[in-house]
Amino acid sequence: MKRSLNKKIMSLLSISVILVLLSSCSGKSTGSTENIDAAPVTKTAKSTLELVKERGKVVVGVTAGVPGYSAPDSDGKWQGFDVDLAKAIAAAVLGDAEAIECRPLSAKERFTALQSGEIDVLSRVTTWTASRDAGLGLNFAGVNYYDGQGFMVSKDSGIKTLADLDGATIAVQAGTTTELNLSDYFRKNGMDFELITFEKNDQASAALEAGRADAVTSDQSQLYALRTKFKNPENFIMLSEVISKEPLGPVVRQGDDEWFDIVKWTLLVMVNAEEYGITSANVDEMKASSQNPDVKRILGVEGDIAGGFNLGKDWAYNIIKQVGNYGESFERTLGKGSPLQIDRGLNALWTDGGLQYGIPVR
Amino acid sequence: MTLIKKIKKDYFNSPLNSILTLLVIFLLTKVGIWFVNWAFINAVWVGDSAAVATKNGATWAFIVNKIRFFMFGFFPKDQIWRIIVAIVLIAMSMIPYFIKGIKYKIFIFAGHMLLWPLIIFIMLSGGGIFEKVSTNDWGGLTLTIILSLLGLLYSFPIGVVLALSRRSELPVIRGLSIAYIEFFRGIPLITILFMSSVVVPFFLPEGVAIDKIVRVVIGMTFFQSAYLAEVIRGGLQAIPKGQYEAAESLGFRFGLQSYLIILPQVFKITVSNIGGISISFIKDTTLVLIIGMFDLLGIVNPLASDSNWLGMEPEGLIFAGIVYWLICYSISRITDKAEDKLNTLPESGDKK
Repeated sequence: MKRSLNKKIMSLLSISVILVLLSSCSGKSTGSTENIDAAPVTKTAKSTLELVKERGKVVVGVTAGVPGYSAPDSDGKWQGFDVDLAKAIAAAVLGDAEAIECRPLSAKERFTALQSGEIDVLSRVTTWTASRDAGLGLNFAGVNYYDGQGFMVSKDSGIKTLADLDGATIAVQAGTTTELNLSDYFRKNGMDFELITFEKNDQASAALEAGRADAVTSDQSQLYALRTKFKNPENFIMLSEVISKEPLGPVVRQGDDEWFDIVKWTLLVMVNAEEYGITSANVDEMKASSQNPDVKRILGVEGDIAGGFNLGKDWAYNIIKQVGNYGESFERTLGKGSPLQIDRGLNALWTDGGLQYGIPVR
Repeated sequence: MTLIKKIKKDYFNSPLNSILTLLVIFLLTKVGIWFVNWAFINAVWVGDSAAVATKNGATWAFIVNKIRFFMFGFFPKDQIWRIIVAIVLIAMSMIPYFIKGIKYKIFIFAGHMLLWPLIIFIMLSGGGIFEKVSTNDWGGLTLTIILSLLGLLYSFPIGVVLALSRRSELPVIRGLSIAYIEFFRGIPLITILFMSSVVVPFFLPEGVAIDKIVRVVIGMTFFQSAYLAEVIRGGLQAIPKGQYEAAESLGFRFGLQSYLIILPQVFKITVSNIGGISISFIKDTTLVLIIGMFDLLGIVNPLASDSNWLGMEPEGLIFAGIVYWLICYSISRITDKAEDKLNTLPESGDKK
């Protein structure tokens, strides 16, 4: 009798433990169905700008390590082209380029992290597409890198253009859109090719290095990183043409236009600064003595553009002083100042035949 | 003489076996020589960038340069002592287990369930006392140990409760326990991790943010406790009915009967199984790399993405593999030792 009573008490205890566990899961899920709809817009009543100022830090979503774009340096600090953009935003908003917190995200998590308000801006080699822009409650704030599927060939092969690839043996990573793009392109142009597929990009590029393939194809930014692993990288070149469009850029939450504008114009100011020749080295001098009204407006000497963004007068000055202009950032992280040695290509200024076009600051 | 005879008898007893033996010896030497050359003779131990790498040797300089990150993740350099203090504190808190005179070690265990997260919160996160370090910067071996320790610690009591409930005579309790166990055994760990990192943030009320690491530990605990429950249930079923009846006839109530008589025997029977699933749990923690957390395995990619050290993934992965092997092998040895020590069941024969 006594035993069964105690047994009942014990059982009641264990059942209550289980019930508490279960209810804590289910209670949350039922209580916030409306939050799922509301989340993509903005989760908090405060604007992102207010939150960032309050926190004193810009929280940015980055990759879990892509050479040149975002990767930890020898001190464990995240550096790279995408991180530079986040630094520029921090310089504009807070006046301190180092006031950022990098949140490494996997490809699957990145949009959720932005929608749920965990990060302020996503700067993570993310391709701008219509379905993402319209369907996910996000806004793409520009293009900081025009990527595309390209080809790497050996210098001695004499291949200069895509047309020369007719009949070539091409190495590619299996089961990717890269492979589909490749066969689509060759079929469309009535060209012949032989395909060798590999499990990983590393192996595909190794086939080129070993002479098994005439060319290897992948996103251009990837090919540059693969090339650095070669024994003689200088013997291999990138064809300048691309067969797909992969515009990469920063992403923000939809519904906060003020923050959207800040991110968009941070990038544009960097491009403008390069157009007008303002660099981190000469920005003080330019600010003090430049007679060019465009430069004066950018640097806040004339007019009150910053006021429209709710930012301090020095916002653009801080970006250029602390991070540099677009070209400086590019060369430091991806270009001549880095082991990747990526050519400007499509990312050159429009005046140099590229696509980077500084929308006027006035 | 006997050795040669034995070799002859075991490995060269027919022409085919002789050929196979020679072939295996040949392949082993070939691979062995290549590996020794690669890992030691041609290896590079010092250097500041991938430029020191040679084609035929490993670049251990990468590991040497990045060892801090492999061990402590991106924790600020001047704060690393806090991790070391935390580990020492946690290790010290385990001492009472090994002191013979102490009774009711269950209370020590319960204490750990409160103490360890507190130590980790104060020492690693800052806890208002030290400079705050975001959990985002936790990584490397430290993160692996935190996830494993906390996951195993909490899954244990939950597993015991579940196992006991599953054998309960009350249908509701039994049903709930079965539902829980079968649910969590039926979905892959990776699903739980995705749920905890991607879906849970949407379900939380406004302004409430539960740290990703906490969400992951909770998810992993749910998962592991279901497996542990089944192992313990196996042990419960192996206890002869007479033990229950004897306990009852001595007037033990259900709680004491379980705690003093049944469970100790269960742990003796299941210790090697518990060791086994603990090892596989530690290896399962590597799955967090899918959700952007850098445990010992996950940190290889960001470190090898440093543009000064491109192409160092093989060295990083081999190093991580060696560390995992050391951890898992030690646990396996400890389990063996524990098994020997606990092996006092009458049916095993030689009682001391």
